[in-house]
Amino acid sequence: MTPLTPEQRQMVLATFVDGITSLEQALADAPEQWLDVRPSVDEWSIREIVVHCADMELMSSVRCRMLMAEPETLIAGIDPDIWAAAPGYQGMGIVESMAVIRSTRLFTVQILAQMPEHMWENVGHHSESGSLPLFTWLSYFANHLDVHAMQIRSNIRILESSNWP
Amino acid sequence: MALSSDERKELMSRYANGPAVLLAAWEAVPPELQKLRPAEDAWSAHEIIVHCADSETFASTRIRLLISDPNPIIVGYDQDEWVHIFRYHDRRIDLALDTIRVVRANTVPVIEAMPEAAWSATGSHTQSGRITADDWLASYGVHLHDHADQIAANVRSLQEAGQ
Repeated sequence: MTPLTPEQRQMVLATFVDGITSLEQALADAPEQWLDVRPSVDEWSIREIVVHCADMELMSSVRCRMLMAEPETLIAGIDPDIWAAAPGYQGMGIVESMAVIRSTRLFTVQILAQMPEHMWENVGHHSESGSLPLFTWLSYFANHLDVHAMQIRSNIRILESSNWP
Repeated sequence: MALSSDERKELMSRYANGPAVLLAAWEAVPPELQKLRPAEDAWSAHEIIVHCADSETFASTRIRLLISDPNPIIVGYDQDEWVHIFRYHDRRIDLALDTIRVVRANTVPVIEAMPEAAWSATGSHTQSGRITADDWLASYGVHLHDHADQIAANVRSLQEAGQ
């Protein structure tokens, strides 16, 4: 991936912010009785999707700052399915998770929007995927909430078509 | 450090009420003193709050790593450098306070659900070496209280200096 132009960065940052609304809207369309229903045994419920998004928002907030402030930093990969199996995961609050997503993302956007030009060249090392430039991280993660908003809508469609009570 | 059940209970209670304690300390700072440093190498109250927001986010990921991954690497950072790199005085204080409150509220149920055995989960900190979940609680259970005290000390120091 080639470095982003200033115009591309603005577009990616806008996508990054809009992801919050995208997830909120998908969640608003989800019937309450389906929040904890998995469409199949190996897929996440809507609650698990939102809690995962909050977890990743926290991780990414840290990763972003490390990439900016500590060039050559190690970015450790995680297994989201193992995190989802942690005690208490099923009982995590959706409202509380959305609050984390909104707050941490807006806090990070403020930093990214004011970041000095030279920091865009920073590169870290991901434990699984190797070299990770800051702009690659942002390009990838900017769509994360949109992807999971689509997953929530997919859950809803599947449960609707299966006539789940 | 291995904590007793009673010590954990006390620290978890302090962990949960930390944001309210910190907010009260911040609200007691006169506006004209919020960005003043009591000494050249000390942090202002504003910088302390933004540090707490960054630290809170780190802490929330560290406990999740400790209980989910076998011997995770806990990456350290230079908190004094970050004050300048991220220009903490330019960060919005409302977003920082909100981040502290919601991130901690989201982590309280995680630690409340931890079984006894999980408190001995171990990781490797890049600066301080071996760290357990109990070490995490001993540190973060009082972190915001310590910084609330630091903010109050800042105000006293600045007022005594005639600010």
